[in-house]
Amino acid sequence: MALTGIQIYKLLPKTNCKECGFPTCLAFAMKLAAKQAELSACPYVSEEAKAKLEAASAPPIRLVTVSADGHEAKAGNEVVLYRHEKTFYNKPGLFLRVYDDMSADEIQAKAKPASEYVVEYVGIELDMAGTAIQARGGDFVAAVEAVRAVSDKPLILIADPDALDAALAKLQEIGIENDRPLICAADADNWQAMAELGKKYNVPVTVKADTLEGLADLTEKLKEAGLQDIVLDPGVRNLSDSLTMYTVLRRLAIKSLYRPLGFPIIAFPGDAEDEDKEYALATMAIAKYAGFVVLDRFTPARAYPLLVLRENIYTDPQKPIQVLPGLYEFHNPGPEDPVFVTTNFSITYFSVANEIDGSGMPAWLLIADAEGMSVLTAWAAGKFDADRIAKAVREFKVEEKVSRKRIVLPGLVAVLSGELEEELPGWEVKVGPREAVDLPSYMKNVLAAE
Amino acid sequence: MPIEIPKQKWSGAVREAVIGATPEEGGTRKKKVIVGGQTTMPFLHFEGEVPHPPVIAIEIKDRKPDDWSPLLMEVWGDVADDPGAWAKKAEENGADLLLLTLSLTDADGNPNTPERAVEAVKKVLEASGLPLMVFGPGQADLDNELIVAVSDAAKGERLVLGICEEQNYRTITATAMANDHLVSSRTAMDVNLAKQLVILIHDMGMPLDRILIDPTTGALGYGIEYGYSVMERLRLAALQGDTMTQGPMLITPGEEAWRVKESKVGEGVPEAWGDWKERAINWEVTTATALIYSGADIVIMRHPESVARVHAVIQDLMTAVEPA
Amino acid sequence: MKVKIIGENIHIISKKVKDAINNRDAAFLQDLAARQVEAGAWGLDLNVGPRKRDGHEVLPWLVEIIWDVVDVPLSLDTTNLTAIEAALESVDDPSKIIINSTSAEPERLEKVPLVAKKYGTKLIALTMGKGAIPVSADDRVNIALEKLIPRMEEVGFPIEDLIIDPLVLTVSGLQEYCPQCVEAIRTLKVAWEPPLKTIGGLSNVSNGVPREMRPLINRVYCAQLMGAGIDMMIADPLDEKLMEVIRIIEERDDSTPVGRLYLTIYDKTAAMEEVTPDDVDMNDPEQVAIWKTLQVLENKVIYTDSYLKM
Repeated sequence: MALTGIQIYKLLPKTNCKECGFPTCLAFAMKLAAKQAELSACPYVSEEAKAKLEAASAPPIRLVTVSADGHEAKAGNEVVLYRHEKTFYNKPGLFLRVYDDMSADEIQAKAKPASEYVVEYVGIELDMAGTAIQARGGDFVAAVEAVRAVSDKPLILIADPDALDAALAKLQEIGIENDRPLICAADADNWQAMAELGKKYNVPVTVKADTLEGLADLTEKLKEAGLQDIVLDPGVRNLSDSLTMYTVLRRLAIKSLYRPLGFPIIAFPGDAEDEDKEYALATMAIAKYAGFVVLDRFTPARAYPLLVLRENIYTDPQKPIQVLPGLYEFHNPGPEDPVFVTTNFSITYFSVANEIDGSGMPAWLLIADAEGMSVLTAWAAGKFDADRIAKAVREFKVEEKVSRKRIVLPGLVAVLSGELEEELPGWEVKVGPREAVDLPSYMKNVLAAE
Repeated sequence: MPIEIPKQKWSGAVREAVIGATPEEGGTRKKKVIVGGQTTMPFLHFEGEVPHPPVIAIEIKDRKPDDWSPLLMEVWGDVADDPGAWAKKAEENGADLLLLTLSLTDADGNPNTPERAVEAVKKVLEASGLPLMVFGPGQADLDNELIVAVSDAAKGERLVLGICEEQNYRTITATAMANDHLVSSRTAMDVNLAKQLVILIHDMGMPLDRILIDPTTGALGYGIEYGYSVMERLRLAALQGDTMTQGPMLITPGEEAWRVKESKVGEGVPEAWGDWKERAINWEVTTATALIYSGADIVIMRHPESVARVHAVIQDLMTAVEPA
Repeated sequence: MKVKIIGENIHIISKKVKDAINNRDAAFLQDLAARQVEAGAWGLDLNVGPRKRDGHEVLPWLVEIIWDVVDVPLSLDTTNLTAIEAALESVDDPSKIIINSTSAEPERLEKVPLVAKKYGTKLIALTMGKGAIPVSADDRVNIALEKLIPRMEEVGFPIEDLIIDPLVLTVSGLQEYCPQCVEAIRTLKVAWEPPLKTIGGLSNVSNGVPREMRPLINRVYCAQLMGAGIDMMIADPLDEKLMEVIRIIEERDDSTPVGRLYLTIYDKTAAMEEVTPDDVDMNDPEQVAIWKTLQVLENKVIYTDSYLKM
């Protein structure tokens, strides 16, 4: 586990000599924790502390980047098993696979729409990471060329070392900037040749073995050969063994700090015998620790939910998605209908909006800018107070929309009602239920009854 | 060089719950469902016991719903006016158990009545031998009125009764205790609240093995990450020995997934959303499977194709694998 | 070293205080001020809310009538900077005023330190920028090091007069923030030269908790914060049991079993060690309640409103 500032501080001399360029040892420790400073800047650190800090400073899972043109798929650098413990950082890239025994036309017809696919979700554009190309008795170089003719996104190349060598040379010849594919796969037999390719072209290499020892053995060999960017394929192809092995690999890397397996994982849902199983494996890979995901089947209706799942799982639990502040309408509200107010924390918005929508009754929902916090958190932080609510009422010209000026506060911040009355002269300030789920009955039994 | 497999040592376990009673046990169900009992996080067979698979309940209604997606009505439309026929069809479509949700009103807009609710429950119990859960429409007073009648009428069946919420749990808990049923304890995506309501229900005298925890969730794209993490946190707490979080978890991906635009609406949506039905089924399947990975023991779903796909997922996940 | 208590009771959230301010009922407020100081408050917090319309009149008046009866530092707790300036214009000795507060939000950080510098007041600064409140101790400390302090240096505000508030948040709903705030205090104490002063709003830790359970949570968290080295707390000096815990810790009074447990919490927090069941007499209900509270505040057991009954 990465050390916190105070943990690093305890290993430093604590003299505040300032020779590192920072005013205090703690300030230096914070920079070390954030990897924005080098330990060598401290002339007085003990050898013992140095050893401890160096062991703790290398990421437990190495960051591996596959790139092409301006596109990147990054995996690794993860630090937790469960997202609530911190966050998951690098979203696994989804790659659609084509085979070299397909014709160039077939390859392009498959690869192009997936490569170009973009879908918008809460204002973010989601897309596929790139294309995987696998040898299956055809012309591998020609397949790579066919893909490159329609896509400048990152590639995963799966073939024997000779075919890979030719394909990598071809990619150099094509000359897309930063074209750095992932090559698959080094095994007990071919690892030397794969290591040579990795070094010759400076590309990451996947190692494949059916056992943890086999994988560790291969990564050690590749490291000895001078390779750092390694990806693991534990050879699992069903849900249960995938969950087991991915979990064990993640634990070994993060909890046991077992360096030989401190690399990202590649998953091959595309190897599944049918589309439903492929989809299930992809869901698993996204939720449970894969760094690269290779698929054989692409439709927008499959890609969209998988990409959204990835977005959701990789949302930083501390930095929630926000919705746009504004005045939202439900069931064509009129000037007599009530105005509800809440924060722009997405889950707060969704739960309130769902309930108001579900009530079937017309209403306005005013979303104030509370910097993406939930009602109670925002209130505690001073981001959801009478001042801000009144500001939102003015900013979104609510008074032009309603004649009966009724505003309903979330029950959790009933304390604001007095101040809000001060801020909004002429408004009737009401206190709604504490939980969104009670809104429909509140609307029916309290508001409608008035 | 042998690698030591990292295993967590947990002090706690998920509590087992039995839903449904057979004739020998005082009910009429032809089978019962047992959930819980795990001594590890989901499906890590190498570390602990996973004695029972998660189960899938299909949700049916006491009358034709007004607001369900047309895609659902394509499947259930022919039986939606008859809860008995609907129950039977749900059983044929792979349900492990059934959830009957009672409507707020009848088709003409008159408030639902205890008589109608009991009639619907009886039809379901006669038509299908599966264990049954019955939830009120979600309005405190009416919920209590309907569920008490249902509870009395189905004494001994070991139903799961809902919805117990912080503001309204006493009446339903009391009637469930009196008639040997279970309750579902629902709170809004928050570990503190989830635990607190279990405590309150247990304080009334309800045995813990008859309390299911419904921590609620958002659908995929609509806050699922909160439900997902709340469930993971509750399950971790359970395994660490926090007795009030050890109940099996029940979750409603069907309801959530089928009320979002992606599933409900076929026209006027972005082209990148793809084929409507394929997308809608994937939405429900993804919501349900993600929640199974985070600890769900009972998932309540709506579309038979989704149910079949999630069953296949569960079956695969129940295969014990020793890491090597 | 003693922890300085800033009395929290003159707060607009209390209806009586609000009415007294609206009616300019000096006697009521003076009594409340005097009682807090008598009970051991080192200073007083005056929270008047935003008071857009008349803050610039209310706050000078309030400062004047309070200083008529007690001679202690005053913390002016409002976002209304105009009101604060009006108060500062009206007093003879602004060095006994604490502005409460600035944050790392660009707009506030630009203006508030300038006012503090101009009048020579002390200044409370929250480790909170724009966006969500940081959970981790390191993130909070980084805000102090990277935003708050550089700005103070930029405007020439003395770091000795800066008081960092790493934000105490409620255990009811924001439980994971509680131990992190303790760590933030600890980290802040070694973060700078000269050492930073730290402050926390103690009662915030039990916001939203059923009323009867709040004092115990406040007491246990108080021992933790003191162990981490906090300098000041905005708290309720009229809470006798709280003041007793502070006395026990400061005088190292180990004459009672419960007192010894509070000292253990204080000492172990200071030493970055864990309090264990061995430190607690599980046959003593009072100690068990303290232990359960500590478990909850350390985020080891999920908080619920009935955690004490479990």
